[in-house]
Amino acid sequence: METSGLIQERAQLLAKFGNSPPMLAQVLSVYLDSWREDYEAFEQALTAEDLPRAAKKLHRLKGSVGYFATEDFFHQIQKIEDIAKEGDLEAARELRSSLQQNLEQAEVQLLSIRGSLT
Amino acid sequence: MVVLYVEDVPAQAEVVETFLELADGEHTLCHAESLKTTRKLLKTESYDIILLDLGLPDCEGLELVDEVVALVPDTPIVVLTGSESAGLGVACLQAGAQDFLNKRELTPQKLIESLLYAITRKNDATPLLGRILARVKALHTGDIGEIDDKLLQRYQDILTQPRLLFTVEHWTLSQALARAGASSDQVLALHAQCLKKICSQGDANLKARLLSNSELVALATVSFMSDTYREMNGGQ
Repeated sequence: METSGLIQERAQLLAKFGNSPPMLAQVLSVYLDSWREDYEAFEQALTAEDLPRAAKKLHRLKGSVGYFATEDFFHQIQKIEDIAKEGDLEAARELRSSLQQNLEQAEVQLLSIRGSLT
Repeated sequence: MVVLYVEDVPAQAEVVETFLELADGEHTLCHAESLKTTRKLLKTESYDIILLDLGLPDCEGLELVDEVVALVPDTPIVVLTGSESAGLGVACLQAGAQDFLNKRELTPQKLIESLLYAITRKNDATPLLGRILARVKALHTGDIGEIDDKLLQRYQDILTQPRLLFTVEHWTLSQALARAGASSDQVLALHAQCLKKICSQGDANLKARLLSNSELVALATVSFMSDTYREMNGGQ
């Protein structure tokens, strides 16, 4: 799975947040402090084969990262959410590791952006 | 503007709070993380508008919209969600929300515009609709001529489905009207007739939606028709 093109460009994000580095840094911090907890909740639900709950947790995560994600990355998460809603456990499990990989890569990119803001 | 923002995810709440800080004007944001907290706040406080996420721990989806509308029927609601479903958006409007925003495309400007427009629509519903009807009545002879019932129904459908505005459906209807030889006068008569019929059904939410689209539908129809007439006359 391609890891480039996961997060919007720094300039784009900055423009969205009023060209204010402190404001963008603050919202990035809140996301970076919380995404793993949301992802683990999704993992637990998937392990428990509770697909409706997994879909709900993924929807929550998608909403959070969606403010910073590219359209492609957003739709990737949407696709897995839809698969979970449809009850396809095997397909959801197959896509879980690429999702985790991409979320971790997105974290690296966001950390880099946040670091450049201070 | 005093906004009650109903959202249980801190990371997402942080973004919206930041957007409101960046927007022009003085805004106060209050935050609720559950329907239970929302109920408690709405009992004792009043808000200019409610910004509503659809996924709370104790209620979600259209049921949540229904609950909030029932609690405060006179307070405008804007739904903010991660879903990109147009069908969900229409359903939220039909359930009583004034607007539906997608989180991925949200910017400070889109947010503040949506909130302000929703407040305006909700507050001005009845007087403005009367003004629109009176103005349309003054512009036509009242005769829709040979426009048949099917075209009438299709026009009415477009008028009541704001999210279908300016789409292929609207354009093909305009072509059908042009081929039937309709004049702009007849389109205005058709518009007034549809508005009267819809308004007689007494749905306050539907009337509020009509305010934002009514004149645009008539103008767009006439505009699309003029393109068709021009093509029929060889580009002249």
